[in-house]
Amino acid sequence: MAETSSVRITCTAPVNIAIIKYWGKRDEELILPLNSSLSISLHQDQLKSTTTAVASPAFSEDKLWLNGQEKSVQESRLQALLHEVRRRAAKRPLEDVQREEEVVESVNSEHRLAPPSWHVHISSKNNFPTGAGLASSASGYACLAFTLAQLFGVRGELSGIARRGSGSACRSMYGGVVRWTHGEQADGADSIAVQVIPESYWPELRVFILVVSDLQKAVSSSEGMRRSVATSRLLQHRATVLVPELLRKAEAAVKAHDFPAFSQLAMCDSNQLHAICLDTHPPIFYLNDTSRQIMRLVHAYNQACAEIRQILQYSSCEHHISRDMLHSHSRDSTFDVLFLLSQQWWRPSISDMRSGPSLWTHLELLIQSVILPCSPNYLLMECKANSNPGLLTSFIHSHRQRGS
Amino acid sequence: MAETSSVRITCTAPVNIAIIKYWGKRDEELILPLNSSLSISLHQDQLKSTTTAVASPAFSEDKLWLNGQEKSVQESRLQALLHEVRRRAAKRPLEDVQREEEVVESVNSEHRLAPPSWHVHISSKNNFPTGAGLASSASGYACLAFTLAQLFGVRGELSGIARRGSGSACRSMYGGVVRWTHGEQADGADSIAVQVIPESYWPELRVFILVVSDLQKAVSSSEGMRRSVATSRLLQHRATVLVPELLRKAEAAVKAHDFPAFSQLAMCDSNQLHAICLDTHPPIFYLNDTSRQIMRLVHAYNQACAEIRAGYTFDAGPNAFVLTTARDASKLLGLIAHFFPPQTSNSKRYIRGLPLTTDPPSLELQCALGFEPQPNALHYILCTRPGPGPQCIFDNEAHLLNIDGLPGN
Repeated sequence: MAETSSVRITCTAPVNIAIIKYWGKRDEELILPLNSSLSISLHQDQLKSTTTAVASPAFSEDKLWLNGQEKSVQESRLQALLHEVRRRAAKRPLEDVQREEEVVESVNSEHRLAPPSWHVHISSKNNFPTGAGLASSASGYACLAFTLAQLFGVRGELSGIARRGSGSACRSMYGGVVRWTHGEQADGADSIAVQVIPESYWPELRVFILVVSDLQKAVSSSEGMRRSVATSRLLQHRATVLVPELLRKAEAAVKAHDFPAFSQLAMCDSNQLHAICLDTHPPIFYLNDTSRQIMRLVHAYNQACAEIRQILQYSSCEHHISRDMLHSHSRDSTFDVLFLLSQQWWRPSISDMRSGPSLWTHLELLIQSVILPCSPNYLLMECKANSNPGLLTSFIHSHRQRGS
Repeated sequence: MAETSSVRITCTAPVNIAIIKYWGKRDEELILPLNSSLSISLHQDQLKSTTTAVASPAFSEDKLWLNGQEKSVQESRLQALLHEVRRRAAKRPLEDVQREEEVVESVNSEHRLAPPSWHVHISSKNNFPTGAGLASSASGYACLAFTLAQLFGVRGELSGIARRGSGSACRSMYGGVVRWTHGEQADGADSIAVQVIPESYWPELRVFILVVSDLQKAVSSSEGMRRSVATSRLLQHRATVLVPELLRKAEAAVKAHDFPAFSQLAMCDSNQLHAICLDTHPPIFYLNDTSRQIMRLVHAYNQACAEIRAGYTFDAGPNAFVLTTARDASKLLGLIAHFFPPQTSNSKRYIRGLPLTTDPPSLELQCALGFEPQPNALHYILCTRPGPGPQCIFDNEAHLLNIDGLPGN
């Protein structure tokens, strides 16, 4: 290997949100799960971890900075990950390493490989606030695994390295929709992530993360799932009997762009996870009253849409509602939901909304397509049940005054 | 049968709280459950339904008053119960009826049997407020079944009649700890309640009912369990695989006076019920933030004692049924009153029922629990214990209907 003072790599990795949940390990040390899981990797424009790793023969020890603060590297999962990536790097035949180095060197003189024996300095940060309850261990460990793999020249299947840091981190090793297969082998070699669809396959999907104010300190997921494995009699049944079927259905829904089916599976699996937490002893509560209000709003919204669609379909002949308007209503629920959510909790001025002034016009059109054929009292009743009664009433009122 | 203008009977029956829960039916019409269940009948000094039934050849139709208000008798479950008790009464051999009548007449000239063909006027009331979320269908239907059985002379196994009104009502047909066996037969003849222990067997048990303030209107348990049966994949597993074992353990714990084991089973089964509700689609939430705070308090108390001295169970609503024994009653009550203090205006009626002292918690215990007192979280606390099954009342002042079958005495 050529003499160099140091090698430096910087990478980013996404956060992921599980749709079919991982909850419970069959092996604590290797982090092998009881069941397979499925997730969506979220866009790095909004959420990502960034990691820089520098390897040098001059370093006497590994060092770590997280969000600017130096931390100990002696944490067991971090050690397991570091050990694993170095182990795989050391396994590479020497000729492979040399051949690759030549290729890499010609591309970018800084982008050389480091021998796994060199110590590393690592710095990682997130572009989203910690302590807002947004889990960063998945993106953080995935980023670390990926960065070090680039640094030491480890190629091929990398999710197994990320998994040693945090189970869900292996799913952040791919974009789009990702499955973490639970695997059969005791050494965990087959407990890896695979991409189900790339992000380009279903670009219409949207995810709103509602960050809820919460005073209660939550039980960590590692501790929580350990308690569930030890005490929940329903968990085994879920893991062995129920999840394989749910996973199959969820993947089929994704491949078919079937949002209603996908969404229902997501809601049911989220609820089943929290049911397992309640079936744990002592019971674990992650959802609070606001979480439940959000769930009620979603159910009420779906119910309202189904009813409105029915009404629209029956009235379409009578009121000459174009097919386009019907179609645009069912597809652009993004703005509907944003609007309803904002009325419930937030009430910003329209300029506060990220989507800007065009949102308002679009909303108006959307509501217009919905309100016109229905009796206004109908929409009013639905909203009264679920959100602040004053606000949507005033919107409808002012809209109608504008001479619709 | 002797000529009489009317026959009048008044009885009372207890409320019961399930320890191993009933949730889900295998037959909606006959009210047959997916699994067996276990409950404690609570003492009638604190909670009971009272029913007066008057039968007369002069009545042209059945009539019903609930808590003083006339109601329709056309409700399907009420009809099923009335029909069942009359059917059983009609089956009795005539000599049996006549022989019994002679015996009964000599005891109390008013306490005669009525032929099931006579119409009845029924009046029922509870000694606890409705709308405080305390389920009265169990005590109400049990009382009705028992009263009509006395009136028409139906003897033997009576819980199956109560069951036609409301599943959990069959467990209120006995005192102490009661099991409702789920049964195998399609006609439900073996889906009946049996007494596991009488109330005198474990007199130290105490139950504190914490009546929680709640704005949310809860889904009824009939509707809730129907939804769970339709959508929860975990429910079948619970009913067929898990409950039989839990029931066996709970009965063993009761017979051994093993409070820690009993209490833990109660907490776990309550939580599993609510887990099933969350696994239902759309999900059902019966517990609110106060319910959860109470659960935390109980866990923290047990932790601080390094032993299970308290337990809890919740039905289809936010009210907590906190379990303990006489030894810890005052201490636990003091702890609850400290962390869930009354609004100052109603502090006199805040702790009701059994006359217990409240031991204020030590500073050490307060810190160990580590949360802030929450005033206004509870409406009141009712202290009770296991109690007897349905009783006939011979006190003339207790009747809710006069001898002509109208409200008043």
